[in-house]
Amino acid sequence: MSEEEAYRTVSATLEQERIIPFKTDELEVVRSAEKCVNCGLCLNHCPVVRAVGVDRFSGPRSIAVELSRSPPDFWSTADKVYLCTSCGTCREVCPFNVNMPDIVNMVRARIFKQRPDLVPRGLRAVRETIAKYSLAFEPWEDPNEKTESRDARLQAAGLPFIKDRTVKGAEVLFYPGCQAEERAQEVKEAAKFILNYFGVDFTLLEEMSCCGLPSRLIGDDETSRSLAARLREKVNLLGVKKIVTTCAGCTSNLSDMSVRDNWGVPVYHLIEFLAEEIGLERLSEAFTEGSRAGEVLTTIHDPCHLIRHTSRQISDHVIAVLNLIPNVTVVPSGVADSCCGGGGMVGYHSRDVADAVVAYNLGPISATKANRLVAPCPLCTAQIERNLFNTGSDIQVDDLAVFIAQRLPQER
Amino acid sequence: MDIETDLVVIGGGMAGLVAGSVAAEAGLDVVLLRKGHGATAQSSGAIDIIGYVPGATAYLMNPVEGLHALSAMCPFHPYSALGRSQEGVPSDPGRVVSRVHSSVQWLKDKSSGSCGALKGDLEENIQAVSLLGTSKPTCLIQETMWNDTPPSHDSVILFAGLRGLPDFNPSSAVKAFMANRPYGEEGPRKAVSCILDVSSSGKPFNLSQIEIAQFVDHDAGLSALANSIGGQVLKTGADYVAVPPILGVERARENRRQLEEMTGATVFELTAFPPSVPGLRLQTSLEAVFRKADGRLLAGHEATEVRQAGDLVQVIAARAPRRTIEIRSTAVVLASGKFLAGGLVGDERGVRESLMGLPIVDSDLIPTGDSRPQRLTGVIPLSPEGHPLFGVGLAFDSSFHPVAADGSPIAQNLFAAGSVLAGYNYAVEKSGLGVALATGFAAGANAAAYVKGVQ
Repeated sequence: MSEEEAYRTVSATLEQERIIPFKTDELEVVRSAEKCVNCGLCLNHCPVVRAVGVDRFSGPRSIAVELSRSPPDFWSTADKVYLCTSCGTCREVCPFNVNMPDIVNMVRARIFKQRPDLVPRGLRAVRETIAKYSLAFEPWEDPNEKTESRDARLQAAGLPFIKDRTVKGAEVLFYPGCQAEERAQEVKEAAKFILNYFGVDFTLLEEMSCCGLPSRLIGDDETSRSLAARLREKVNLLGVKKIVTTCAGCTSNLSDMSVRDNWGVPVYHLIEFLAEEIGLERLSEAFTEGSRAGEVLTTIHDPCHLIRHTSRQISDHVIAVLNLIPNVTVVPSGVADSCCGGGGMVGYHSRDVADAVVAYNLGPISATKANRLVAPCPLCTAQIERNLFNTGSDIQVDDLAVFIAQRLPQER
Repeated sequence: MDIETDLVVIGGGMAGLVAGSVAAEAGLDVVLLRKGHGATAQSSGAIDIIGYVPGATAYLMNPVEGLHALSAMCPFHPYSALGRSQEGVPSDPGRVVSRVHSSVQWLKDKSSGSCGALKGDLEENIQAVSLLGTSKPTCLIQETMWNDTPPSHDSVILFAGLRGLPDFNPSSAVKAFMANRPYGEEGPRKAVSCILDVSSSGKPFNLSQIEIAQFVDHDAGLSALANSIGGQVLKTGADYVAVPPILGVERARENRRQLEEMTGATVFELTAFPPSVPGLRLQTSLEAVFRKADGRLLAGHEATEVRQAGDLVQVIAARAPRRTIEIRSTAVVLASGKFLAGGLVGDERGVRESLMGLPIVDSDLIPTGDSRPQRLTGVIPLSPEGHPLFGVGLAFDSSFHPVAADGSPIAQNLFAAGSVLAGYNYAVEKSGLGVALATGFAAGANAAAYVKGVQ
């Protein structure tokens, strides 16, 4: 048997043996898992282990050394591997930077293919929504209701409406992400207002579609790749030079896709775009003109997808920008960088775990005596807001885009 | 250029954080790049200054004597470099001791009141007892491991394990503890063991030290531990209770005080294997010192390139998971660690300095050339001589500049500290964190002086 024939014979049996070969872009992740020395340092830092203990969630070390090395029996890991919030803390503290979040995605992708019955039910529901609408949230049935909801939210936030626009050849694509498109509409509107205020030549998508992160976290690799490809096509058609988003997850996922698939278009979170492209000087001038809101003592939550999946510099940008605003005082909570529990799709099937993870944040946030918490991510905002509310706290939780927009002058 | 600063420190362990804090306290703008945790976070949280003179089998009672001996015996040792006011002169042991003393005092002051607060003196080594019941000489230990009065001859010591925690077998620790006591030395009358029932999950199995420590930081965990220990103290009449290092993460010192009040016994932590809770406390408290000095810590950023023009390094490129940045800096401290942290890499091509490809020498300042790491290990796994591999690293001068083969600095504004340096074998000397502290302290001060000199 020639080598070629042997290769064909073996690859023909893969499916029967339920082995899914690694894609080229997964190989780096596999090699990263091989670097684990089993030291267990990650266990000291994992927020899920802290919240529920190693018996419920065996932790990053166990995923690297046991759970990721058992093809074709990945299914046996299903009770643990869906509890990872993909916060990336383990990757950041690991002496070898073992890429845990992507290892988890890889294992979930194999369970999804081999044993879809073991995918938590909550995730299957999201998957159906995505399959049907190409959005992570079910869209509004009645477009008029969506507009009404938007206007109500604008009014509550005290922001003017900036008309939607789709312009070919614009400099910047503003990509709100599914949550700001369908749920937290005030975030999308606030970002449009900010970009418009600074005279940014921006466009929206003709039709919004998901960046593919939720599918990736569910393990639905095919859908994730096809959503990314579809978005890329839209980006190419519009001919934009930059993508700006208000969602932490979209920032890290699109940055990753853009490099992995050679989009040639850089991706910014709005706060990065403001700090790096608009510049602190212009921001400062604008805030000085617009300082009409009252005194606010605010604390910050740093989304994992920004600080640990993208760059820690972003949390410095947040502080730098907030410090420019008159009447705003920033108080550190000491837990700004700890996971809100809502990531990794954990909240969709194991709400108890997600809430146990966020619980660690609530005490220190309340202890700051701040009357506001800002987060540059609609998911973190929602997760922390709900949990703070449940503890009887009266701290108002704002998405950073809304908070900033409210402090810019409305008339020019 | 994304960032312009006075000093970039590469590495976020003991050496890097101390160098960065000292420079920031001197008024410099400091950016510290850290790709992940290294040996400091992995440590037992105790700080060894010098436990054994190289080659000796008996430990040193007094680190000061060890520093004197080193500066006479080992001219290329980083401690000995502290004793030289300029190149080519012999090391002055008094100067070595005084500089190590300053760094120890600085660290004790800075960490005072924090979760990593330290006790101990440079004049005396402590015999810290481990989870195995064995002991090792070390200089500074965390307050939660410290006993003001060691167990007297009429005291009873209780080794308390926890049900479901596989890391600690108290009955075998008792055996080792009693067997290893030197004849004639005062010690407890009796050592006994027990198993406590304290579990954060309510289940008596599959527990880790960190989750118990985090549990004890809550009132419910603390009172569960106090009740459990209290019962055993009543039963055994123990005066001392030795527990694994689980007395808490953030509130450990306060927890210990309350436990002692509630149980009437002296409760202290044993030293544990990596990665231990005290190692986490040490890392956390060092980071707090750096932040308090207004240092900027960029975690998750790996330095990928250092660009040099003439005799100055100028630009450092760094990579975060999805971003790359460039930093222009007046000076750089390289504190990137050894094999664990990735400052040095050893493979079939030899041992290399991973960032700039700086020349590598062994403890005797002999270039290791392209020797494979295997060539630098001895046949006996555990011997007082250790393995030469752990003594390799960068050659350096008395200002802690890495130097080229002719002894000249690689760059006027490049300094190095910690285990990336050659000349000391931390594994056999028990000197790892001590050298990192003292050289980080010196390199940080030198970098600050350099930056102020050119400004």
